[in-house]
Amino acid sequence: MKWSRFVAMSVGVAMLAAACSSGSADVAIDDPWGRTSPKVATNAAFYMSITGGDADDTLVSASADVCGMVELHETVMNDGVMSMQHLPAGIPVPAGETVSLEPGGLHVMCMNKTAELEIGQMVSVDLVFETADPMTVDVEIRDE
Amino acid sequence: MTSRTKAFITIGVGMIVILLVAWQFILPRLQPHVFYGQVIQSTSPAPTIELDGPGGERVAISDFEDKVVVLYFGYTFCPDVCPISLAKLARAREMMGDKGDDVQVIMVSVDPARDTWQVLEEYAAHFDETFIGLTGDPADIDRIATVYGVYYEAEESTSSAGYLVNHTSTVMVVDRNGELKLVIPYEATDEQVAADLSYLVG
Repeated sequence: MKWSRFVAMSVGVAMLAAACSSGSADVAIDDPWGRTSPKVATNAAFYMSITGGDADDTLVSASADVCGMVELHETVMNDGVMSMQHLPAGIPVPAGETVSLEPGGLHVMCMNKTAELEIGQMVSVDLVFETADPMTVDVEIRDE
Repeated sequence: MTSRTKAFITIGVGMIVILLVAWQFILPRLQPHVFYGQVIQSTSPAPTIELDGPGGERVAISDFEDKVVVLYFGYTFCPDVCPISLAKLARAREMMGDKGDDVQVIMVSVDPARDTWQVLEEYAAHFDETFIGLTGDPADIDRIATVYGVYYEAEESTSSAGYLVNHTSTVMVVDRNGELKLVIPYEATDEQVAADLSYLVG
């Protein structure tokens, strides 16, 4: 077998293997973070980008040791008035699309926080989806 | 080269230097500052605010008459918008360098039932050690919010937080003459806030 053909075949096999392993794309989380927060602040918000997998899914709930309770919320502005909406049905994550949880919009609301959130700290947060497997992400605490 | 030519060159170079200096340093000062915030055309003093501040002491905005006073109406239960706004004010103040020393940021609670002065003291100082929070009698806060054109309303929610407070998320600025001068919208960037406040510090 010629060297070039061997290389071509190897590449082909590698590509096939890669295609198989990513055959069922999972929900992916990018850049989970939260702002520093004093102990007296009862609540805090966590942000991240969620990219949907092969099928439509929904982030239905979340939990963290540092939070007495976690809910999914959205900040909405109407005529300069800010209000927060509780999203009991969760946050839809359409297949292949990226949903941004970011300041001033969708966020994971950490309620009855039990500790100060300090810069550099990593907060372990469990995310539960309607169909995707539950996952744990490390939320980085920083200033912005 | 004749001495006359030399003289012309010297004068020419001198004029160019003067023009460059004028262009770089003088012209920008002659241009009026364009505020990002909405300017309030009023020469009446800012309405009185006297509430409970750090250490439980009564604090009035007139206590800071030599400073530019920045008022933010919010509440400590708010996890998203209030920290965004206060962190932005802290960064803007830092950007201003020494001029930041002449700025006093005051957070006025729109949730006096839950925000005690003790909670507010620690909360406000978290963003910047010079920031203070004020709270007090709900009737006083109602009156203050009304005269400053700030809307707020507690809303029962399905959230376990009990109630959340919908509120105007703007920043009001009282200048060094004690007059309400500017309303800075939520969307302002750090740089826009710093530029407006620097101009008012003078």
